[in-house]
Amino acid sequence: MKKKLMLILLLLVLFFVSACGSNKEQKQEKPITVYLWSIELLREYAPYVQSQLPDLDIHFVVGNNDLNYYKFLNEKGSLPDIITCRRFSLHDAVELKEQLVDLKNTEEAATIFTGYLENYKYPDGTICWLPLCGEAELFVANKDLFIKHGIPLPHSYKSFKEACARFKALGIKPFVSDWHYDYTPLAILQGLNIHELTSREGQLWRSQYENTGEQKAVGLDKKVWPLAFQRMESFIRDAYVEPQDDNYLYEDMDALLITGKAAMSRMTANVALDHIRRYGMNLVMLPYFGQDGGEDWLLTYPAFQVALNKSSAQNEQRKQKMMRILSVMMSEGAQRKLGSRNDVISYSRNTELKISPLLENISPFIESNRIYVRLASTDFFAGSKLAVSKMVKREATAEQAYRIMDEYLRKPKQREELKLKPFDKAYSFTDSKQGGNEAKSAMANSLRSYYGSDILVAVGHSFTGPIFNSGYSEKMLGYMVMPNYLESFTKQLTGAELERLLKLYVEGVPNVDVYSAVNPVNYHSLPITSGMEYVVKQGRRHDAFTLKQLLYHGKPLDKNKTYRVTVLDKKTFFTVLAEKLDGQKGSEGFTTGEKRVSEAWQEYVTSGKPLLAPSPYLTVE
Amino acid sequence: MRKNLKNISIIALVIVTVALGCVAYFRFASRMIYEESSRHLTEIYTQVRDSLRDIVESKWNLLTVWKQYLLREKNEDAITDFVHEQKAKWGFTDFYFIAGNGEFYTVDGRKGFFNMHRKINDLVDKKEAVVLDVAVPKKELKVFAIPMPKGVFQGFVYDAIAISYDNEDLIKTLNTNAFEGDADNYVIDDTGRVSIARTAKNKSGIYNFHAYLNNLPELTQEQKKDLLQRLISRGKGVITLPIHGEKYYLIHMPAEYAHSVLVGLIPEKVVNASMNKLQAITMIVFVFLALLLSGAYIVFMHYRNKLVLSQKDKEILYKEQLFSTLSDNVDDAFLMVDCKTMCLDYISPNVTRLIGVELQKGIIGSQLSSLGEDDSYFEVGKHIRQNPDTPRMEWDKEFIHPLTLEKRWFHVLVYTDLVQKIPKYIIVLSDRTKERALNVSLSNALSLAQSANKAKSNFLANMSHDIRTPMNAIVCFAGLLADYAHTPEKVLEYAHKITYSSKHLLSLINDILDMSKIESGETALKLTDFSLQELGEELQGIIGPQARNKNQAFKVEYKGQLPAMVHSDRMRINQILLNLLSNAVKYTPNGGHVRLLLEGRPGHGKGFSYVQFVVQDDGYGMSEEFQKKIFAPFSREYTEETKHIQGTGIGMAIVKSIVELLGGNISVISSKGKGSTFTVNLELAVAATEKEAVKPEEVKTQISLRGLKVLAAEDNAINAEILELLLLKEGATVEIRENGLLVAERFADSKKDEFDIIFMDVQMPVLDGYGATKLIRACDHPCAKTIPIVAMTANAFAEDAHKALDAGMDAHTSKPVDMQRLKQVVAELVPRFKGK
Repeated sequence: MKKKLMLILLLLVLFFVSACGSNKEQKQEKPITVYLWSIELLREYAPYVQSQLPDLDIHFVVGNNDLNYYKFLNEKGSLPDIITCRRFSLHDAVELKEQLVDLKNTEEAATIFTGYLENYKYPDGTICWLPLCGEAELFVANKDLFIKHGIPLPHSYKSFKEACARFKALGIKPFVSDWHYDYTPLAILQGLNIHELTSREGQLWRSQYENTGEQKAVGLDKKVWPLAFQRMESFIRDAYVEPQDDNYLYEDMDALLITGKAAMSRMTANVALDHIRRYGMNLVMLPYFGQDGGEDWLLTYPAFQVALNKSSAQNEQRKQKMMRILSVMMSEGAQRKLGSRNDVISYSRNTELKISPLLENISPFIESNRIYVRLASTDFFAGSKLAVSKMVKREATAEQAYRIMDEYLRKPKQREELKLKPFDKAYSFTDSKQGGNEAKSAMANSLRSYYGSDILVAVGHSFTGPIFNSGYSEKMLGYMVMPNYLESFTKQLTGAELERLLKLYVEGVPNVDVYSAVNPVNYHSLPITSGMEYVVKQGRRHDAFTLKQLLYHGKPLDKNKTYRVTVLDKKTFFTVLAEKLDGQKGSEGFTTGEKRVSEAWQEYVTSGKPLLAPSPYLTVE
Repeated sequence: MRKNLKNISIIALVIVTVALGCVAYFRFASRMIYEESSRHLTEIYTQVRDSLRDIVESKWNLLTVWKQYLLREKNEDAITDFVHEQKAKWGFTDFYFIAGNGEFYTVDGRKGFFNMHRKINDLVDKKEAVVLDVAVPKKELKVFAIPMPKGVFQGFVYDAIAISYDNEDLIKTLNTNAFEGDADNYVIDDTGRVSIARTAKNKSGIYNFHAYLNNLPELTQEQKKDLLQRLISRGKGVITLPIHGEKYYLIHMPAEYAHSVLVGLIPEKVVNASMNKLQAITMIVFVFLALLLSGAYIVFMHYRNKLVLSQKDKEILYKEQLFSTLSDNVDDAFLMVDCKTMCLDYISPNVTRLIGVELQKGIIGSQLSSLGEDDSYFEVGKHIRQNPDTPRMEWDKEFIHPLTLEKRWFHVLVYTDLVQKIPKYIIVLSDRTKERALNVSLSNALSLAQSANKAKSNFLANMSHDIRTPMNAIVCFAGLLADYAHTPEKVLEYAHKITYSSKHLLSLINDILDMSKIESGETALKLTDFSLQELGEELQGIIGPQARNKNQAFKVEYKGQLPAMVHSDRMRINQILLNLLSNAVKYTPNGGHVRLLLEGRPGHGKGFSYVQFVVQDDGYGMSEEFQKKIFAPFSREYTEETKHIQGTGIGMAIVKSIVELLGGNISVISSKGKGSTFTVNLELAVAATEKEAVKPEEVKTQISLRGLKVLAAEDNAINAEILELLLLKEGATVEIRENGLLVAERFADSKKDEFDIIFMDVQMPVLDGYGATKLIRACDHPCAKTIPIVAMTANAFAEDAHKALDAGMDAHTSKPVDMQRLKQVVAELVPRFKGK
């Protein structure tokens, strides 16, 4: 009898405790979700924004640089509060127009110079996206090589062509670029033809293209673009672009340039200045030279565009918060975190971003307003890659390439069918302040199963959103994992080594000069673990955490025992961590996954393996 | 209270009136200021707008003129010079030839690009003039462009020409000197975007005015909506709105420039500065006047109140003084006690005198019971407890004064009253000690009066009896005398009996008068030095013969330390002893013994001596009952042995009175059949022994009045006849007048030495003896001052004698006429008869 009473009492206590807990959870205000287009924004930009708004709970997510992902999230009713995207065109964004806040009457929109803002204005005057500062897309020349070989620096397309010929004769690759990626064909194709693209016809065509949604096909202008492909063809020839160049990755390009095996390349001013500082290269910035009497231009594109979710803004309080975040995101201080070395072009009336002295030879272009903002629709990336790649590989003439791209653009784009329905159960992507995230945990548990490890540690920004128990396309499955090449590293680690590794992730590694070196911004960016739980204590700052304890199957981790551990991270940053963990060996002892994590995830899911249930993995004190 | 209420009401009314006046004036002034400021602002901003319009139009005009020039002029050098000249003249930043795609070319050969977006259509296709906002590093330009027929300049094919102005040039037009740089002026488009801004010093810029308004926390959604509608519809108006706690004027009007709106935002205090100053001065004057009036009123009220208060204070002071004086002088103490707490609220200042309570600090507020040891002080507590609802209670209370320890009687009165709506006990403690003493004394007096009345009745009864007895003998024997006129033996016998009874009657009257005088305290002692030895011998001489007549043995003995001489009233001591000894002889049968013992011993003080006089006999003695009242007047014991003994019954009363008059005492021890012993104790002053004792003058009984010439005043005819007969019998001549005036007139008319002496009755009609004496002494008769005047009156007391002497008479004799005394006086006063 006594035992029964005790049991009833215990149940009552548990009921009340759980009721209180659930109330607490209900009361927890949803954080403002800010989807960042790239992991590099997590390094300085996001911490700055958070530091300026200490009262706001901001969940920075490394989303995808593809508006299709946000259209997908929108379809699922999970559009983030704030979206950023670098690859952007009104053309792509038309579908989201009604889901986004019209910013035309905002202070933030008004700070942007009219010339730039006009690019974001729909015919009805609506402005949903605002650009931040511009990055300059340039040709760079290794001046030392020019001097060494007595070749004058090019000042026109003609002199460029001549220099290329002379370098070619010297056995030095005149021009190298990472043609493998879609952005290079797009940039060079447009950059070489800005003169045409800024003609009346070019402007009219672009206006028509931008303002038409992707559902309605708009092909290439017949007057402007054939000529553009001819210029492209000339360039491939004049710059001695080889068919194998089509496979060049960034690293390939970088290696040739740094080692002096290539004389010129194309890159953003940001990357160029990084090379100058990091490798001591004597790089000179060059514009896109106009051919056939055409003017020289700078090709630019915004660091990213930002938009606000209209549904979220229905709640006035939430809208206020979103506007505050937007204001900070567009502030001069935040923009400096994008281009910390003054290598960006200001779009705003209220910022005074000065051009770096290293870029002084391009300042006349800025002063004469010869700045062309690239057309960056998804289709255009894909079409450019498709056509130019064939040209580089000598598989298509200019005319053929034109037709290929025109056909591609004209082809009505059917949204990828979401025919896969791999998940029976949906999981929220909301981080609990006490620690834990259902979607993150479910994916981590599943991936641990995929890698067959005892323990999996994924960087906090590894996963991008909720898990829906509805349709997915294979691409969208891949977008569930952070872009920017998240990779897996597996090794047998002792408990002590694992603890040291996790401590680095939790407590941060300062002063690491790697662009993907990301330390915790706030509790949202704490690592995700599977097969192991951990406890952290939060300090006064948003980003100050101390690792307190590791639990393996509910018990303190045995520091002497060996575990098979898989870590998900960017290779550049993980290498630094591994060095700190294991001295000289670095990441050598780790087995790098054959597939990027996104691919592994696609494989796991499409192979019909089940999504494992989430489990507690983090306790934040 | 009511007055205060009235004053407060007046002040409140004044304040409310002033406040309402201020509010009304403030509202009126504010409205006037608003209207005036609105008008003023509208005027200023109309000028600003016109200025902006003029500048823009001037650009268009310039471009139009240049267009015509360019159409005419084909010489490119001339065009270049013209542009340079115009640039210097008009101050624009540059001149542009603009191609159809937005590319530009300057006369200096500089190329560039204006990203005109849709406006290129307006300019090139629609041939409309456009204004572009162009941003180049560090500056923003306004580019004014007009279409041109396609032309070529230095190989650059153009479709339009344009000039650019630094935004600052346009911003200058928004400068409104009227507000000392405190105005924010904006030119905004329909989205609120600010294309030209001129902000106040040290103020951060606004880039979208709509957003700015939307973010103002002070405005409601409705207000924001209304404001935005006004701006979007390019309306014209002036309103006031709060911005971050400060009030601003917002003026807006169509800018007539690029479909924009000119907006001015000026702090109200700046716009209204002068008006506010005027308003403030007016308000200050108004308030000052109001304050002055209020101050005057307050001063007036203050002094008035002070006066009233002073009068009130005086009244209170007077009342307090009066009450204090009253309470000091009355025998009523007042206390006020709180009904609930029984604590003292008031206590009158005379409590120390009346009930011995010290008026020390802290007594007010203390418990009533703390005044005394008894918690029921003056039984107040007890009575209140017993009769809690009785509004008035009173009782008497005996009280021992704690300071004087006197026993006092108080009448306590307690009643309940409301003092400022608080129930209080008012306690009045009335000292009734004097009244009580008076009552006791009155009661005693009444008892005494009743006793005296009874004594008087007894006295009259005794008098009636004792007087009638000798009178009966006189009247009856006088009647028998007439019947036996012819029988000389009978006449002699009866005359003798009449004389005897008369003397007894006279003796009785003298005793009564004597006793009466002694009792009334009017008896004056005549103190002289005399020898007790001699007194004893004298008594031996007087009583010895009487004792011998009854074969009684009488002896006088001396014992102890008798002083040789004493200073006292010899006659009165003699009278005492004669009375006692006479009685002893009278009430002792024949053959008995009578003894007088004089015994002396030292007195209390130096010069005094106790003398005891003891009169002892072995006579009839007295019953014990009689001994108790022997000293009462008319007390006589009638026994077989004493019933034939003559006596007035007041002798012993006289003796006792004289003894007490002399400060002594008398006692008696008697036993029936064994005799009585009277003891008199006197403390006598011892006189100097060498002083010669005053001895009573020896009476010369052999004086003849033959030849004496007497003038007498006597109103009673019988007395006059008796006097005449007596004097004639003694050989004197007498002339009698009926009143004092006649005697005085007769003397005044008499010759010198016509009369030897004047016998003057005192009580007479017309003029009494005293007045007549004064007239005689005052007249101019040669013997007026010397003729002896002797009072002859029935007023026989000593004071009568004194009064006579005071009136100028020379001696006093009493009636009935004692010829021996008369002869003695004559012998003393009439020189011719001295020594006869």
